[in-house]
Amino acid sequence: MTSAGFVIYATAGVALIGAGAFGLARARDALRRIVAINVAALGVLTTMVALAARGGGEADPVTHAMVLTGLVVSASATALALALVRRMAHLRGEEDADGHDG
Amino acid sequence: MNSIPDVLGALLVFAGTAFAVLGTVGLLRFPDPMSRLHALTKADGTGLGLCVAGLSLIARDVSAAMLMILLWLGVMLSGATAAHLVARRLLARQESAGGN
Amino acid sequence: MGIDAAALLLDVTLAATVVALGWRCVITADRFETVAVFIGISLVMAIAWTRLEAPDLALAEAALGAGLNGALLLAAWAETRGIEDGPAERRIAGPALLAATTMAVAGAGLAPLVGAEAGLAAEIAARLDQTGVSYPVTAVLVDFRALDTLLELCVLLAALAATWQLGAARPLLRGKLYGPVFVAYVRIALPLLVVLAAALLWRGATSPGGAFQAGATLAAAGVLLLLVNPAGRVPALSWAYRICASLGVLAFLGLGTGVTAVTGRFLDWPLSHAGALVLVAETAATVAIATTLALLVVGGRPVAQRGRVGKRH
Repeated sequence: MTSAGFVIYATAGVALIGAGAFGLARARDALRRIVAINVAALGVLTTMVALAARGGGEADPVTHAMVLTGLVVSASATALALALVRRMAHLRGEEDADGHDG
Repeated sequence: MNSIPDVLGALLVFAGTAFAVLGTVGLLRFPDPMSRLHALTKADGTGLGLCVAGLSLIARDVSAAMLMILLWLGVMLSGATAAHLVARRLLARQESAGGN
Repeated sequence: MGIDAAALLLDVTLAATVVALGWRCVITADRFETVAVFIGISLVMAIAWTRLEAPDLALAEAALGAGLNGALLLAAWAETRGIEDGPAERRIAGPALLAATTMAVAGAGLAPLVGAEAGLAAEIAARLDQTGVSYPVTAVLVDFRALDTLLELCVLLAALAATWQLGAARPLLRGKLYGPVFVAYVRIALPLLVVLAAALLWRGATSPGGAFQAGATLAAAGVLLLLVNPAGRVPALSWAYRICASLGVLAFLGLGTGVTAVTGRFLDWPLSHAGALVLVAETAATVAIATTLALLVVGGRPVAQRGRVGKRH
């Protein structure tokens, strides 16, 4: 991977981090904020992968292992966050149907 | 770029890409969701098939070609099923809207 | 020289596409578009990572990021439709400032690293014969940093346990999704997915693949099974779920403690049996990851349903 390649993808990663931060702060809806966090996570992971591919030789496997771990952990966190969102929506739906806390 | 299979392969890949672009044009330009489904499924499937054919020629490796053909069949299968499911839901929505 | 220009064009196009999709994802006000574009960016990201010489990461991202995350987000979108929450967005100034600051800090931190030499590839390659596998990333995951993998499996299990605390599982689908075409498709796709998962797991020792990619593929098969079931119901909670979901943690803990008798260190696989131990541990991890991810898509504690599952058509 040439130096130009690293710069291209690292810039893309930074831009995605910015997009995620923007979406997290701007949206009020929980689902959109979770997606924004995931976009920022994708940016961070892309930057790490670009860092791993620097230089002329093989890509750095330790960084790759860290990125893989990061993927799985962020999927778990997203799953839990979404479970919370779904549960809140379900409770709110019940509350609307009953007319009082139910 | 120095032999018949390479040139033919490149032409096929180019044609495949053109089909994929046409599929996206259809997605953007067709009036309603049902016709957009047609554009996406058919054009993208054909485009992928042409790309697979071209890449098989360039690679000149039978096992790689078979693997790519398997992938293409998988994409066609999943794409057709997904389009079918979307169309079912669209039809149900049309019927309930028409009935009301 | 022509090849370099073409590769550069490809990289620039990929990177620009990813960035455009990412910004579209956060700017749009349509919640479904957010989810759909996110699935799209995950797939394009997989291609970009292949360009960056990370094929196994691309596999994992396509399966986990686009597949499982996509399924989770779509399920959440379906359950949260029509919830009104007040003004949809905050004003632009604050978020824009936050984004600019974040990008500036990240860019400033990365700028000195542009020319630097990459990290530990040579060191890992020199020590590959001390592990039971010949693929560097797998070697790092299950041998050199097996502790990280164990903790990662614990995180998955913790997420599942926390999700189960939140309440009972609700049926995923309100109407009938399945029809003869979808059932036929699942009949074809399910065995293929299982074989693909097994192949990914087996090949992880020598080429891109491994427990996480295989687990995510198997989880996709589990989600297909969930969708084929009428109204998306799962059989009631039983010890089978608990055992399958904990299998990864149990295997790593058990095997890791067992080898202490041979080599004196936790999770230090003895060289003579390293290949077999790694395979057993990875298989257990695959089953655990698949079960956990599929149950996370369900989103609640599976409880006994009134009436028989699969009886009605």
